[in-house]
Amino acid sequence: MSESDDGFVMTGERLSRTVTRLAGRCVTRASKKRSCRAIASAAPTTGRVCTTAGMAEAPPRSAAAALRGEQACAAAASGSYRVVERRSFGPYALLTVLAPDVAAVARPGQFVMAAVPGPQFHLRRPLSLHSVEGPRLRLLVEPRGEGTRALADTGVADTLALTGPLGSGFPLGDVRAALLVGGGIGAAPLQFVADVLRERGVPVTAAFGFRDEGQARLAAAFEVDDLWVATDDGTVGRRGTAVELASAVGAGPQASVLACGPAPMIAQVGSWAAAVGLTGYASLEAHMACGTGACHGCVVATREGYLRVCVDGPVFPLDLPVATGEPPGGGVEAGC
Amino acid sequence: MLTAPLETGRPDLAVTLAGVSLEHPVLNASGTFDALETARRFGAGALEPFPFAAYVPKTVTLEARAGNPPPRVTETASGMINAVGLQNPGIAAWLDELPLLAGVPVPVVVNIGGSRRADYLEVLRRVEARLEVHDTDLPRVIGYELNVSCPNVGGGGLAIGTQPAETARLTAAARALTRRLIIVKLTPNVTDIVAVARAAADAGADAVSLVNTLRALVLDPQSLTPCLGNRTGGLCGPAIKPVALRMVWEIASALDVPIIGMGGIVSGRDALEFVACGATAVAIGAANFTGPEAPLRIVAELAAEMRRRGLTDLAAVRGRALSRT
Repeated sequence: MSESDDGFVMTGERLSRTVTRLAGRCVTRASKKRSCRAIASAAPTTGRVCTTAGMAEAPPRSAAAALRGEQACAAAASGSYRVVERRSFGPYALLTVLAPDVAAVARPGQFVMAAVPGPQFHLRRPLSLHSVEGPRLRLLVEPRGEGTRALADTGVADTLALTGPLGSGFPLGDVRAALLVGGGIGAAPLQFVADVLRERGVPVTAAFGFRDEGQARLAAAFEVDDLWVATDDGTVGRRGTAVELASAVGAGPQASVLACGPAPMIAQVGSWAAAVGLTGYASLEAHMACGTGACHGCVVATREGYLRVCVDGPVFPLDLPVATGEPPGGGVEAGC
Repeated sequence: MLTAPLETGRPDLAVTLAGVSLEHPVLNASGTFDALETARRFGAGALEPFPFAAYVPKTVTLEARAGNPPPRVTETASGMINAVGLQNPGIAAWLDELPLLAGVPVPVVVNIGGSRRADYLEVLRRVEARLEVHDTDLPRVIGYELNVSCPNVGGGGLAIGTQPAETARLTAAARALTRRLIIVKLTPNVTDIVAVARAAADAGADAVSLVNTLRALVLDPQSLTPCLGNRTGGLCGPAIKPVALRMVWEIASALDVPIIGMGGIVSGRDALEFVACGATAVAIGAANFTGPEAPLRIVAELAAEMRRRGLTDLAAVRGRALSRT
């Protein structure tokens, strides 16, 4: 938050003044740094973009914190973007989307809301950013239900309607070494994390757990120097869970644990990290409707009560969520 | 060629809702759009122009409410189900943030929920008291929407909105506390919607809004157990539009009370259909979740739809679907 006082903040002022100030600063800023364009229904491929270096390290903030002036500037765009590449890993798809205004401000751990192609679906689907390269986003899609199946089937030259980047990112500023722990499709955002840390020369080890051989094909979608894989049934790599693998691989006392996966896995990672004296962050999954903080549909139980995954997260301190047991119906993993 | 002037001129979308002039008829349904969060995510440009003709914040209750356990939302055929459970910080914290809405350039309607009648009234009293204090700029609050129709909370909510007598008692008591508008948000989970609407209108409501969500259940396909943490939830989206239209149509046929119609509006034509059934204004709920462009798109589509039909204003089409007796 080194630039948190430069005007890119929601202070306690009323909306109109904040509005003017943000707009004015964005223009000023654009000439110096990155682009800044107004969201406009007439030009659906543009979005208001304003960013600061300080934002990149912004930890998760509550709405109340935002009102106290701790929340960084709005940065999300919304529009239709072209799919320029598609790779398959079994049923999984890695889509590359040309979205310069989203990519310009995206941080590891953030996500986009993607509209399902076709007229029959109404809710957008949250997809974490697998990686960002120049003006391109990569999105790793697991066909869980009909909506995500249609998204995974998106082909080259198709367009995807996206809103993003949304949510908090992983605070990586103080990370001196990292152990990335991913469960299933939850591993997706950890590529972006690894890329940023590698650029900074931070040593990274990754421990990914998959269900079986089929899901383990996802491992090929990752380029991490020190990547370890386990499967529940032992068909690929070590037999066991992501947490058991992480425990076996181990991490130095200075390492940050950065995890992403289903809630039960995150709870296990949190318990293990606490037991061995490590701290870190976890990115959580949830069913979402708006993805932008309005509907309160995507909450998770935390020590601070129900928090919204979309704007209070998706990245939370590892010890913040509380295990509440499997929700009825098996929760987000069940595809309902 | 006879309609040429209409094709080029923008139709007049302005409406007057219970004496309040609105630039166009499209409001947001409570709990589906948050002006402050939108500004935080997208920047103020997303609010210029403000996407709705009036702004209805998420339901506020007397005490803070934690809401229902997750999962709270999931998509269904042509719609979605939700059981959020009125999560909100309570009226005290809510009032602390009220000045932040001073920049909202449209009228604000405060949506109130509660477990008991006294709770609704206390919230209303506190908002009225706050609006009397001119220590800082505040939004232009034109009235209250009484949410007596939330299907996802114990007590209050449906327990009031399904009972004409209870609805009348709450409405009359609220009426006595304010000169601002009283709008009663009705539930479709009744056999006789007109009876409840009449109770509200006779007790002094300035308008009714409908429909809130339909009680519904979705199972997880694998486990065959309820998907949502609350088990049951409220269904919304295009799936419920025909039900909502029928109820608006019934009320407009029987009563003179102004109506804010909602339920599955995702296009300008949907909005026009509600007006044809007698609605003065409409509200957009689930469509907000299809993307941030949705509200302005729907307003633009409504204008285009009117132009295409040669309609110069909405009064020309309002109530067209009603039976002529």
